[in-house]
Amino acid sequence: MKATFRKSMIWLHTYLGVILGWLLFAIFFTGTLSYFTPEMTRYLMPERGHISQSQQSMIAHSFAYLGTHAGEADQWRIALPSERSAHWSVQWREGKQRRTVTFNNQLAASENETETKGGLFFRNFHYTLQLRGYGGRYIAGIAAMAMLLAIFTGIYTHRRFFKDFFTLRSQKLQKWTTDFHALAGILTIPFCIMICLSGIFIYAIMYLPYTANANFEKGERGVNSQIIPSLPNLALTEKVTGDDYLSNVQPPVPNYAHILETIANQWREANPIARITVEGVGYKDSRVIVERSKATTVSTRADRLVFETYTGNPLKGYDDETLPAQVRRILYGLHQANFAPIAMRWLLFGLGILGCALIATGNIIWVAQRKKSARQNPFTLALVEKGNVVAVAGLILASLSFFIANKLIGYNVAGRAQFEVNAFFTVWALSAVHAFWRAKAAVAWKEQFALASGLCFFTVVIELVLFRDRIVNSIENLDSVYLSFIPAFFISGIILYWAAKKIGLRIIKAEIATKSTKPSTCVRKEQK
Amino acid sequence: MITLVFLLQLLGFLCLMLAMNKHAKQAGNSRILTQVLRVLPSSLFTKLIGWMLLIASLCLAMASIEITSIAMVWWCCTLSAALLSIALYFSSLP
Amino acid sequence: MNNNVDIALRSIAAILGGYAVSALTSFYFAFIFFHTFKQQEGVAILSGSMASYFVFFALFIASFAIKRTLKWCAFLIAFSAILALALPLVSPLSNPL
Repeated sequence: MKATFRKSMIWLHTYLGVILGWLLFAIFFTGTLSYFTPEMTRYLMPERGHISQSQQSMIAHSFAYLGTHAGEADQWRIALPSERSAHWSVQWREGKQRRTVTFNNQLAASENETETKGGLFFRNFHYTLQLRGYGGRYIAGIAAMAMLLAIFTGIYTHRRFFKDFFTLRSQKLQKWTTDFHALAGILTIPFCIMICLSGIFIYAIMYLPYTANANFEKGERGVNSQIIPSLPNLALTEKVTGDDYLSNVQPPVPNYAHILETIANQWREANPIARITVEGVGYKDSRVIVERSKATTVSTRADRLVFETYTGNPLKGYDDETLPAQVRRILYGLHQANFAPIAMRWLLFGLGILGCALIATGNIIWVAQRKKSARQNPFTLALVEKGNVVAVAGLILASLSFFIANKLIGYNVAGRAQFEVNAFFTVWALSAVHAFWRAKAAVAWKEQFALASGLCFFTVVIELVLFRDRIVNSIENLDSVYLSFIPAFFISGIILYWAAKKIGLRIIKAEIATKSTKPSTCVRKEQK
Repeated sequence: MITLVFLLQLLGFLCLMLAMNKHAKQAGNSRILTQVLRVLPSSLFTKLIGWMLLIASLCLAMASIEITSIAMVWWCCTLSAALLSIALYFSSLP
Repeated sequence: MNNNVDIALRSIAAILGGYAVSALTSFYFAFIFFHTFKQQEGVAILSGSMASYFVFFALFIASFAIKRTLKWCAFLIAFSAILALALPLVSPLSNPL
């Protein structure tokens, strides 16, 4: 298309970036925030405090509670808290209704938690784009493939990077931005390739369902039922009586002591259990499925052990998955990074932010270059220039508004979860109005970054004023996950303030430059 | 251990940068790096040392972390961090 | 050829042509995985789908790299037609023609 392959790739890189840059930024930004989904949920729900109970005592208490309150249910579920989530709950089904009870560190039970989407809002947004049905997943898949193409074409543009390390030239902003774009691109090559490839493979069959539909009546569901190992169906004919196992205890209690002992020999890490499911409660052939935490595997499927519920004897368990299914699970696991310890999580977050900066600087460079060359249609140039503000600064403002809405809306307000989401989209829309109303995009950037900085500091202030008790409790209990949000918002505020200030200085410099090129009236008068 | 992996990668990238003429000239502006340059042998040898340090960091990561896949993720993350650090350092030199 | 028409044709070739060919090749990949590697149907379908994305990627890049757009479009149409016509030979997996 262009004279050489390299020039064609540069052209393709430019247009992929310009057309899909905003969508990619939204997906990357909310995806990066999703590295801290359970932590954010914990921050946004004041009742989720640090839990220091041992797994043994939590399991004992859970089974005691379920035995008393859910004796008639046929399935029990116990979700143990991780260091990140502090969410300990039990769940069972009563007829058609599912009941969930959450426990805190003092073993108090509650069925009423703060109604909020929490961190899941950002995580779900990043692959559903808040669209109904599966539309968002298809669009996210297209974006992932476009990003892979953009990475390849971008690498080809700078394919000499092994011979020449990139540094940042600070003299001119445009050169600095281009250098930063190249540097960020190189730093995030393995990360972005892994994220985009795994993003596509999570829904590999959904995007190309034709073979599944041709071979299975239920299409993708049929494929999944074949490749995902499952346990045999339970007969559930004979009920357990007190005489059989534990002496005269009604209702009969699962032999979890024996199960925990077996597990401790096989899973050696601290707090190895993530979830326990009991199927066929009250029957002789009932089984317990214990799921391991994801700290020891990259895959999205952690180990599971299966036991007879009332004897504690181990059962056969799940078959291993086939290699292609494991490959997909490993990629899925890499994408979600549930295995990542805190330091690695921050590194991945940093890489995610670099990826966001990569996309944002790409679009900014496009605008700057087109302005210089003056060959671009002024309408599309203005659209992209202002749209960049909305896509980047607007999204940051909207995300901060979500947090602030959560903190300010009362606990008991009905439908508060929807109000938080509405705040997000309303602020994003207002950012668009502001960006297009402001004559100069640079001024819009400055003002929106300054506002974002203010909102970050405001979040800190709200926390310190309205949630003092929680802060005091957290300091006593060393709840570092919750407490770390305060300095995180503070530092974000400082960074956004610095960015706004830099842009402000550039605006002033540009104004001085334009004024000094105009001939002064005094000189003219003298010449007369 | 991860810190040691990171340090090895930092040194590896430093050697690779110094092996390039363009960056070796920049290094003249830094007292520390000028001393380092005096010690280092020819450009080719410096490149070799750089690559060996990177490989050593990989071996250390895989040896010290039980699960290979998690070790690989650690190594890739610290690699980007090390490259960013070196790039920022050289950018700050006049 | 007018530059805009050229770009439009290449885009259609890349997006629609690439998708069509990779959808068709997913059947052939599934067939290969089913017979060569003796995978179960579901596993072969998963492997085939995953492999087809690389085909899409290559075709997308190629659509913007080749010199003659019309020849490339003709090739893609012909190739898709052949793949589609021969489809009964490889699908469904358990009892093709």
